[in-house]
Amino acid sequence: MTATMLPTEVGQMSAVALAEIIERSIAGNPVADYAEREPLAWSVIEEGGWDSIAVAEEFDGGGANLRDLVEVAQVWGAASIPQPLLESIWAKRWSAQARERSGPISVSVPRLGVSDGSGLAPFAALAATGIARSIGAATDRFDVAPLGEADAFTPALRPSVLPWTTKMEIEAARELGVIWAAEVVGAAQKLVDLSVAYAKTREQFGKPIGSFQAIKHRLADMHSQAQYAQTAVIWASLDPTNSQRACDYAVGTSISLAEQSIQVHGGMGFTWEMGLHYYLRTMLTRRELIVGLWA
Amino acid sequence: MIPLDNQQLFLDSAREWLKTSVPERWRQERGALSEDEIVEIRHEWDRQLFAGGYSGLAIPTMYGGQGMGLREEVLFHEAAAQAHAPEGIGRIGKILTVPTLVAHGSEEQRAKYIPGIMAGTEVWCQAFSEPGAGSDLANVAAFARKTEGGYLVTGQKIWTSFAQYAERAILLARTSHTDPRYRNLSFFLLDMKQPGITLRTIRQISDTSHFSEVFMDSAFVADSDRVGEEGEGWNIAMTTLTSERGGVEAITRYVEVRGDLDTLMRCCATSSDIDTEVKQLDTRLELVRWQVMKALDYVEEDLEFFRRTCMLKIMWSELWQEVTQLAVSLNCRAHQEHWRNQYLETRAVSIYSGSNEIQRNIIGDRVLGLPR
Repeated sequence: MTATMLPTEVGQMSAVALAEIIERSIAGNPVADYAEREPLAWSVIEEGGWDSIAVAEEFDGGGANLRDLVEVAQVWGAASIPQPLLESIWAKRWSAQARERSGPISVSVPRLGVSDGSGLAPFAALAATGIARSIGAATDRFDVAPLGEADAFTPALRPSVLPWTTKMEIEAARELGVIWAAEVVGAAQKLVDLSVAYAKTREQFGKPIGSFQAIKHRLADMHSQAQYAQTAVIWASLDPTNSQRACDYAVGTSISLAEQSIQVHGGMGFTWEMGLHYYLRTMLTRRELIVGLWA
Repeated sequence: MIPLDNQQLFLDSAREWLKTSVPERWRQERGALSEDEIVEIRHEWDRQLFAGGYSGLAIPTMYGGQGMGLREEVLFHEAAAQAHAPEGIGRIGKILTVPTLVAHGSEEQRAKYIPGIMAGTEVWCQAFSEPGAGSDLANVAAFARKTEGGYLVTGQKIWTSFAQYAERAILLARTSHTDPRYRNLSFFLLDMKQPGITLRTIRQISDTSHFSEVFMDSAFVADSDRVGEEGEGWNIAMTTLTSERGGVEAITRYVEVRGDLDTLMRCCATSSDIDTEVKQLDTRLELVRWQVMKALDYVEEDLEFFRRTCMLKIMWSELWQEVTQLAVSLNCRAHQEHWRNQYLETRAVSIYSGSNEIQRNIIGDRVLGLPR
């Protein structure tokens, strides 16, 4: 490996600009404030061309590659914005029909342990979301899902069970798995940052708890693990033969980071209002979706 | 910056050079070589590196290096380890002495010492740790008393590699009884071949000896061999210890652990019960390498680079221990001796070069900015 592992300019610029848009929309509010509504107007996303950043340049898109999308997905995951931007970016990258369609797009993926052909579709309970029937094949088609009943376990993903699953080319499915894993990694890094900040201000025994080695060493390990999880999704984006195991590692490590983050936050960590659970719930459902994608 | 295509060319020619340069005896009959033969081959390897143009790859040309970057250094070390090249005994000079002299030394010191290190003719060792100054390195007690034209140093150092082969040592010693901690130390270049120096090798649990104790009894250091001013020793030592060796060391260890894990996967770990465990180790090992490569993109930004390299030592050392712990439990007859030895040897890796507990403190304090 003599090459750089950095994203291209498109990826770097998109990630920075998207982070600014998100910051403006959520205005420093914690995830608990916006996890159950739609903080971004979809028109902002469409008019800015954010859903077209990974469409090939020959189709007037931004030409971002999978490595670039790993960068963008981490930014999206860090805020845990409950809208299907990543799915829409990916769909427009793979499908001419998707490129012509206006509005958010999502997919339905197989559920493990279920043999009735039904699928789990993130954001299917969100109004006006088109669920792709197939992606990358000749028979692109979209169904605007009837507002199904959202699975209440994951408020920030609002998934519904649909009676069918989206047909995808293998390579398209691999890319979606990497993108979702990168989103999870972005969330994990955010939780590490929140934990570090909390340990600097929360005092016990007259000192910030971050000064105690029991907490300091845990946070040092969390930093190291978050770095490795990020490296794993970059690896997954650059090396198709190892994508699956790298993503499995990244997601598993991220979930462990969420658990540790709750521990560092002490009693506040397991309250609803602190909101760490939104990230954790999303991670668990993303893992289920990724496993289904690769099954 | 050198374009990446050139780095591929560099790597190709380095591999070619390694193929013809690594001594056949080392490659084939390493286990049968005597201690003296091993030292001779390793010493000769330093001279071969210099002749081949691979000594001091990341050191500026004005100081006799090759003027390339850390990426080339990392690529070369990986290729060298893969080619089963010996490790030179001049490495302390290259990774510690030269960067220190480049950053803090006088022109006279650079001119006097760097050429011998580059050429592989002068071996250096590191005299920092003491029985009472391990993790608490600032507690160094060896004292350098001012005398005519220099200092007389008395005290004891421990955990010194290459001491018996070294012409010189980088030395951390106290120069003041009254100045406060962190401002009472000075950094010296010590002549190891003088009557005031006595050595004792340390026998390790694996029944090998990689370290010595160094006893100094009024050993002389000239004023011109003090680096920086009196009292600046701690700050100079800190830049030495946090020099960019993390990435180079990690990639070298990566190749070593890779060799062990390959043996494990090929031969010893045949039961499907431990399949998942072995695959996890394999993934984590590959991530050591990818992590180094990721960090290389940030080599120009000190803090960003350190954010990505600060955990490497913890990661490779604890992973290596897990590999040998698993391996020694499998009772593979063909490799029993190897695993018993590696198991005991790797008890040391989480302790030397700064214990992993100290590494975690450093990450907490310097990278995360946690209160002390």
